[in-house]
Amino acid sequence: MVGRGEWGWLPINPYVSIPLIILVAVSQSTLAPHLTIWGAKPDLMLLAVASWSLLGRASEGVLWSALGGLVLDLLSGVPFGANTVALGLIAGLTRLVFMNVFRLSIVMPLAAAGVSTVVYYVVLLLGLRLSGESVVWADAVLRVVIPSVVVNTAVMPVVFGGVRWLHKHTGPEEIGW
Amino acid sequence: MGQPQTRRTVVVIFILAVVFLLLVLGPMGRLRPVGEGALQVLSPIQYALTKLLKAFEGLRGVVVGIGQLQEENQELQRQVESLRTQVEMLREAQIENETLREQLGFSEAHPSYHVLPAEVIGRDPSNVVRSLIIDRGSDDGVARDMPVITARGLVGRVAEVYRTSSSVLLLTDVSSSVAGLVQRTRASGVIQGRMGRKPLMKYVSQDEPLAVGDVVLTSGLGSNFPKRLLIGYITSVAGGDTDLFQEAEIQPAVDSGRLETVMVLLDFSPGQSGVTEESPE
Repeated sequence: MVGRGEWGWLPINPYVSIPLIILVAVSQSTLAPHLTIWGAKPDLMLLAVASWSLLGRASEGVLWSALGGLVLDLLSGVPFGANTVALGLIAGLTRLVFMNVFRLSIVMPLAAAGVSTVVYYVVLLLGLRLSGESVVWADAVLRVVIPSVVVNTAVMPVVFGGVRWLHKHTGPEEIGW
Repeated sequence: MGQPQTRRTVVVIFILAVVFLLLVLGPMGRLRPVGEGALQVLSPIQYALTKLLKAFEGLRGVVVGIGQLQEENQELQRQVESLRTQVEMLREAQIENETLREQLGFSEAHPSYHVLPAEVIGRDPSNVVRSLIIDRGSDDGVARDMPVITARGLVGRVAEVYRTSSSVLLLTDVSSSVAGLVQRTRASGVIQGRMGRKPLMKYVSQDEPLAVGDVVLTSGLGSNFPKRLLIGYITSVAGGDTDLFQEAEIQPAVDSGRLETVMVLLDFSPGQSGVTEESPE
């Protein structure tokens, strides 16, 4: 018989994950701009959500995307909810596609970062478009999406490594009989 | 007594005679040539021995001094580290001093502007929106759409206000739109932000001459911003003869990527007549 995790129905330790999610979001607003390359800064929350979705259970990825998206929506000027929707899609997509298709591949995190970035920015740009802002798609793709894909893919090994360590040391233990 | 006794006596008498001779002849100066000859033989030896002694003393000094030098070196390194830290702190203080002087100079040059200094504490987390987060909010009198500037020129406008912080939409954001005019020719147009590119001055009449390097200011039209705030400089002009309007790419005067402090114009809100001021130098 498999027992419940230490936190009952909660998939992860909330005393660690919630402050961490907030810290990642704030870091993206304050520290990440100092790492700008070709006009793009790394999307730390996106990478953290993608990493957690690859490593943990589906519910963990959803929690990260929901909370992380909410905090980003509060800090960002994109239409409210766009980050939450985008990150939620990424959590599901990452789990579905990369765990089943590219399972155990060494390039799995890198591919997940690249594809997730494209999905993320398509959703954000659609959100901007639907809210009445003019979006020049050629400019957006060439000057925002592509540089963001490059930067996020380069940073993903670091984020994935950190999340893997964290997941290993903070996840609830389950006792099997 | 035998022969050894006699020989001994003779030697003693001889030595006494030589000493007596030296004592008598010496003061009379009769032994000078002998002395000079002896010195000529002895002095090179003396010279060599003196040199050897000096070298030995130098080596001894080195050996003894190494320990002292090591201690002195460590102490000097500690002092260097401490001085280095002080230099960095002074450098930071200098930068802050220059920024504050710039702001003060701006306030003195524009006494009718009521400005509120603010620090940049963050930026928009995404790469599609260009905005800053500043540490001033409604508690400090900040309201939506207030212009945000530095001594160098226009930064943007307040987009969202909270109690203790605000979001500033930059001039370079795709949703930013400012009525401007070219200082030299008074040609008017609209400066529109673009994603990942420099802002574009649009809707400029074809018969208005534009040139690279022209200064672009706010025109005050539409009353969204005060007049004559510096926006930037024209870096390129585009627009064929068959186009209705010509366009110019603008290099903003303010580098928003490096901003640490800004000023909020408190006594201006959209819709009121602009504060009339000369353009900043």
